[in-house]
Formats: sequence, C-alpha cells, structure tokens
Amino acid sequence: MSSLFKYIPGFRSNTRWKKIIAVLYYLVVFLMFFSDWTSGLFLLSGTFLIFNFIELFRIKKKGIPIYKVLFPLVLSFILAITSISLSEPSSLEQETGIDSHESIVAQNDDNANEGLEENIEQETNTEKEAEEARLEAERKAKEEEKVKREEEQRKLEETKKQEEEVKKKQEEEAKAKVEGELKVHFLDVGQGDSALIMAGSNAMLIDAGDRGYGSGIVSYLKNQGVKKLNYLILTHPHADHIGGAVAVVNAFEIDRIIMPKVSHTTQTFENMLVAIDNKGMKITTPNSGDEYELGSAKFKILGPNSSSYKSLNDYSVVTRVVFGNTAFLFTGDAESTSESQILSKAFEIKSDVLKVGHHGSDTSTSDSFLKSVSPKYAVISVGRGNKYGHPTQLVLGRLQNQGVEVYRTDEVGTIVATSDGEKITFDKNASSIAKSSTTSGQSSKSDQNSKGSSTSTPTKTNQETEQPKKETSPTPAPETDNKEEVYITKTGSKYHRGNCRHLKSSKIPISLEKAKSDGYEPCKTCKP
Amino acid sequence: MKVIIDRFEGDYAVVELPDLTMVDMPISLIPEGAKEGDVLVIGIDPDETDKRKERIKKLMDDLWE
Repeated sequence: MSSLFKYIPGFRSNTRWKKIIAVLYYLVVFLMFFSDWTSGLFLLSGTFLIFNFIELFRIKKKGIPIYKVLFPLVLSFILAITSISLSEPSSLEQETGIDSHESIVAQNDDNANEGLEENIEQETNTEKEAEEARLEAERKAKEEEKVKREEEQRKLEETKKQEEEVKKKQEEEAKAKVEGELKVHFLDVGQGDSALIMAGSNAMLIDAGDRGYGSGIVSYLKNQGVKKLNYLILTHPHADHIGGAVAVVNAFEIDRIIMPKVSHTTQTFENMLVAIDNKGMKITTPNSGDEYELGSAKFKILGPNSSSYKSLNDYSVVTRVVFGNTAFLFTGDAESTSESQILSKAFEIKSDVLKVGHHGSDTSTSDSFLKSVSPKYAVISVGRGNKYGHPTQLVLGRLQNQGVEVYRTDEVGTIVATSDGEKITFDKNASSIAKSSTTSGQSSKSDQNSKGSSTSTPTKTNQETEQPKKETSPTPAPETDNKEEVYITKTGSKYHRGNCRHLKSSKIPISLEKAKSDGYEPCKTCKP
Repeated sequence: MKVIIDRFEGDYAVVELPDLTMVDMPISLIPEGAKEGDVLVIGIDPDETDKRKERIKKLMDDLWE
C-alpha cells in the first residue's frame, strides 16, 4: 500500500502541505467524476502526466529506475488523450472553469479548513454549473435535432407538393388536350380592328372595323360558314372598332353582345345602339375576371378594370382566349393605364399571340406589359400608310427586342392563325375585306382605291399596281385608311416624309417597303 | 356644319361628318381643350368676313395706279 503511494503525486514525499493540496485536488477530481467523468479522468491523468514528466529529469538525481517513471507517464498520457477525445467541447470548457477554481483553492492553502469548506461550496457550485451546462447542451442538442427533423419534414412536404403540382399539371394538360382547331382571323379592315375567332361551328367576333367595312366583314364571315355569332365583343365605342357593327348585328343572330357601358356622342355609336335595340337585344357589361366558353375554347375578360378613364381606349375589353395549351390576347386599343391595371391583377396573362394594342401606337404595349405577355407572335391590325404613324417604331422595336414574330395586316392583308391546342401556325390569307363605297365625295374615291387593293392579293405586285393610282390622286384622301406613304423625287436616291423640303421639285408617293427594296435610303432631314 | 370628334390619333383628330364619313382634322384646327365626343361647329362668320373684305378693299384701292 505504501509503495503505491510512491507513484501518486503529492504523496511521494512526506511533506504535509503537499499532502493537503493533493487531498483537496483529488477530492475535486473525485467529485468531477460524478458530473463529467471525462473531465475527471483528464484532470487525474493530467496530474500524473505532468509530475511524472518532471520526475523524468530527476531520475539520475534520485536514482529511481526509469520504468517506475516511464510506466505511469505513458499510462497517464494514454488516459489523458482518451479523456480529451471522449470529452465534448462543452465539457472541455467546464474543465478550464474548474482549473481556475483549483488555483483559488491552492491560494487558500493557509486556512485549510475554511478553504475546504469554500472548496466544497465551490465544488457544489461547479457541480451545479456543470449540471446546468450539461442540461443546456442536451437542450441544444434536442433543439438541433428538432430543427433537423422539421427541415426534413419540410423537405418531404416540398417534394410532395412538387409531385402534386406535376400531377396537377399533367391533369391540366390532359384536360387541355382539345379536339379540333381554333382559327383566329385577323381581318384586314384597314386602319381598324376586327378579329373572327372560330372553334368548330362556334364563332366570336371582336370588333368590326370602320363602317365602310361592315358589309365586307359580313360576307367574309358568311364565307367562313358563320351562321350565328356566339359572341360579339365591341371593345370600345371608337368608329374604327364599332363602325361595321350595324351591318354585323343586322346580318347575324347573336347570342351575346359584350361592350363596356361607356358613352360616346357620335352618330356611328348611336346607330349601333339603335341596331342592337331594334334587335331586342341587351348588352353584357364586361366584368374583369368573367369567363365564357366558346366551344372547346374559353375566354376570360381581363379588362377594363375601372369605370372612369380619361381615354375611351382604356375602356377596351381585353380578352384572353385559351384553346388547349395555346392562348391569344386581344387588347383592343387599351393603353398603358389599363395595361398596368391588368398587370396588377393576378391574371394569367402569358399568351402565344398578342393582338398588339391600338394598332401599334406608342400609347400601348408598354415594356412591362409585353414582357409579361411574352408572346411568340404579334399581330398588328393597321391601315397601310396611315397618317397616325401606326405602328410606331417604339412598339416595333420593343417587339423586335423580345424576339416576337410580327404579322401586319397592312403588309399581308388578312391573317389567319390556327391552333391545334399545342401549336400555332400562321397563314396569310389572300382574301381581304372589301370596303363598300356608299359614301359620297372624296371618300368614295379612296374607297375604290382600297377596294382595288383588297380584291387582289396583298403581294408586292399589288403594292406596285397601287402606285399609279396614288399618283392620280396625290392629295391625301380624307379616309383614315388612305394609302399615303413615303415620297421620292425624280432624281434623288432618298425617300422623304410628305412635308419634307426636299420634295419641292417632285413628289412621287411610294410604299415604304418598295422604297427600301428599290434601294432608296431615308432622308436625313425629315427622317422618315 | 357640325362634326363630332371620334378620337385623337397622332397629330390628328378623327372627326365624324354628318354623313358618317370619318375625316382626319389636323389638331391645329381643333379648339384647345376639345375632347373626344365633343361636337365642333364649323360655321361662317359674316360680320368678320365683311370687315376683312372692307379692309382689303381699302388697301387695294390705294395700291393701284
């Protein structure tokens, strides 16, 4: 027994103070074993390690055999390493705390009893602290586990949701699979709008151009086999959209007429109201969000979204027609005010084909609106050589920037887009809408002009044959869809606007396309 | 003669003539503040016409030998 003490630091010599310190120290270590055994082990083995290490240098002096020092040194070293590796970072912190307590204990050496009491108190404190720390560590670990579990659950839920979405989409796609075709005819009604949408035998007409095109629209519809209109949408009361409506209303049975309840003072508007009234029909107010069915196609009203606009254009009924997985957006003449209102609603707006608003005027087709619609194709319903600058370079540039394929009625005449529910194909239909010449004076002249153009196919030769006619009547006809375009001179190599000062000597009208294709360049003064 | 402003397009007001023909009128011809739907009266001012006739006549009378 006494030989064993020779290996325990503090008891190897018979010094009293050393023994007292050793007893106190070992007591602390003993208690440590209860709170955190790895720390206790570390403290115990550490003491042996340090003292045996010091002993190593005193072997010669004391004459102790080397194995008596080396054996406990190696053993304590292994134990110390084991305790460190087993202990967690939090318990290591506790150790350092306890170390500081020990140093205090050592300083209180003189009053050993008091020191002992204090020491015990401190030990209990340390114990408590250690306990608390451990509990906290456990709590933390539990919380971490909780968070982990929650995350896992969330992930699971997300994957579930995704799966559900995929399923929904598949279901929708399955639902969206439609039979037959949807044909959308963008009628060439000069500077105006008119589109016929046909889903099987179901037909809808959006706008009816100027009054002069009324009978032409009626015969086009009859040629397409339209016997009854399921819907007639008159986007807003401007003459280039409702002018032909009287003829249409009188010619066809119509299930429903949709038109915003906004007044206008023109005789054209009044005549249209009278025609509807004479038919004993009522008009449906377009409510944003309302959905209607047209055969296997559906359409939704996206605008107008207010009952007080500055411009009549903004009252335009905005319709999104969906057939299978394809969509067409008709915006009438809706301007950026209405466009931004539509954007602020949570409507599905992305569409394959956009009927460009207001004939390509810069009042419409705002950047943000176009980006949201992100159409593959755009159709501009506009009169050849109109005086209003439609379509504007600004809008054409925006469409070009978005990589949108643009079709224009002023270039190719009536355009027919066919959707099979998945794909849309474009056909530039040769047949055009004849404009009747019922009015007198100057306008009848230009009516004949446009009649000439509309009965033939809208090809290059058509434009060429128009040239002499224009020369015979160089004064711009008072029609909104007159054929005035750019001008060239007898000798010059540039083309000009009508009011350019370079046109003093000669002024020969020519279409912009022909001028460009013939190698004419834009004048630098008037910048046409 | 009365014409009705149907709409404004670019530099023009599109007006409806009594025979329902739509005509482009340069905006410079349209009274300031006119809105779409407004009726414009195009008339003859006989007094002003007479006054101008008189003034020009006087000017001409003095100018010829």
